[in-house]
Amino acid sequence: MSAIVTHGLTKRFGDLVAVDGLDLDIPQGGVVGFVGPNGSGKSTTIRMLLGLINPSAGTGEVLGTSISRPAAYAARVGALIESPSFVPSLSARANLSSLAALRGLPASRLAEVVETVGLAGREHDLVKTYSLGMKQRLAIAAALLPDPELLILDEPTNGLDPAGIVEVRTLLQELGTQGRTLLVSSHLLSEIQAACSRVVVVRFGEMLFSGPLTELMARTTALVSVAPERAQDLTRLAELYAARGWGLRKTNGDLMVEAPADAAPELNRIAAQGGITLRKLSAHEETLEDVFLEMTGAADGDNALFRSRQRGKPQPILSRHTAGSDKEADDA
Amino acid sequence: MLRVVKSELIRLRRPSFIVGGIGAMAAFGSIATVIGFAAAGKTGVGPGAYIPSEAALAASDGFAAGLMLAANLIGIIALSLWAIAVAADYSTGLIRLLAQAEPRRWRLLVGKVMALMLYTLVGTLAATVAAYVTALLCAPLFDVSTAAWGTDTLVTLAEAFRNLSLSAIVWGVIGLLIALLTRSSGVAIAAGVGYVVVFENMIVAVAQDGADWLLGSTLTALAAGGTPSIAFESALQLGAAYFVGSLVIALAVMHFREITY
Repeated sequence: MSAIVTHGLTKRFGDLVAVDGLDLDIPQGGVVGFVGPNGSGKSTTIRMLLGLINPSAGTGEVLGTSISRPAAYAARVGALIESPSFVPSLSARANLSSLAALRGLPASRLAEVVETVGLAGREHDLVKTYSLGMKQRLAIAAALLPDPELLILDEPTNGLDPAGIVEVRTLLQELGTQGRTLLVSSHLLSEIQAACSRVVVVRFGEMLFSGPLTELMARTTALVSVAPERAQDLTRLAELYAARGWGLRKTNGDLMVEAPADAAPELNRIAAQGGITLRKLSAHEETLEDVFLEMTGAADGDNALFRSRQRGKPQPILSRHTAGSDKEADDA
Repeated sequence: MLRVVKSELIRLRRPSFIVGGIGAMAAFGSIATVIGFAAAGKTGVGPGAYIPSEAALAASDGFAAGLMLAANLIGIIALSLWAIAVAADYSTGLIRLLAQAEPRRWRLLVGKVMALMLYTLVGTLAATVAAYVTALLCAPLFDVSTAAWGTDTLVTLAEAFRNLSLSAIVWGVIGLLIALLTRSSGVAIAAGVGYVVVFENMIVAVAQDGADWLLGSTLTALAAGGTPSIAFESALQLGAAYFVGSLVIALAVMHFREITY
């Protein structure tokens, strides 16, 4: 059984289509990253899954139950939605007690979740004295109260400093080993890469990718960054590489040649034969962030590359493919 | 349902509600009683101000006269606190957690109303006791005879408590409705106070006798156990209508409104 399934899930706010026919199938178990640019429909999707808003069209199931009956699965789902939400003038324990009482949970559960998120000893402090990182951990504790089969965390690292991000990342990794399903929405792709085994990428309410993180990472391209000594040689250098069939991208006055690191001597030789002296020649490994930016079209310059790859149209000179990148286009 | 009530009662333990709410109700019960004794028999004290006569203070229920003077103030406190309790759920984002944990939103609302009613009863009880103790202290200071007091003290106090509580609860549910509609305690409080202090007085000035059914007049009569213009039974029925009407609208808003914030 899947943890989450949606078919054509759609949400419109007037003329704005926040989620557009989203089809998801997230298997049970493991940590699933839910990524997309701001306004891509992640939070709206999560709210529909939790019964906070109603879909305009489409269907969905959470833990085998229709999202039209959220009361039937609420006890099996925990959630952190956007930001920690507590009464600041009450202690962390009182806030958790209130939520535990609402769910009919025993008081003994409080100590367990406080321990899990590392707030033991501070649970009697007022929430207004907490740092943002502590509030975030408290929010995760609240989500863990029902010992959920499905834990949905919307931007759990939002607003955290690097130390707080590391804390939450470690916590997510621990939670991911306990047999439950975690759906983690985040902008921080390094966190997704560090904590998630699967990933769902959305843009403008549409799903662009859903599958194992390794499959997404297989789309990364080895690049060699090249820059001529004289800036005016850049276009001619690009033409020389393109003539030899290398795929190219242009970034900030450099050329990114889609080539493995061991192609650097050949790239240097081509430049020299063309009478161009290089001031830079270095290998560069694409990250999940690079793949994400290409997929979502959020990066300047490279957007057209991904879109045209998707459509199979001829490429402009600065994004011509090698055989390897043609395979990527087929995969896409 | 009891889960929701228990959950709400835990959140109502915050200092602003204990000190600022229950404490304020008790304080106004006491202060209004002092003012009632100090100004007894005076006339021309301004529109909307009820000042008991010396004879009224010396009557068997004279110790409760101050509560009538404080009733609208305590009502405004109830309106404010109910509004804050609702608006805070939205301003803190807590409503997202609550609605996710208990998707049957009517339960969330009815449980909150029940918890706030209990809380209001504690506040009006504190106000009643404070008013009674203050009256006992003020009577000798202002030369008011207490010979008739004590004949039916408990019954009189119980009736005053009941009337004050009913009035405050209707005020409260009005505050809850406005806060639910606007998601703002500030707007709810301003609207409540503005209505009572300004708007209803304007309507009364224009409509005069025809305005007896208005909210402020109704709840004043309810708190006082009836007035010359509105019998207690009529005030009770109108108060119940305001309560049920507000609650039905609030339930509809709670059920149909999407939680997008």
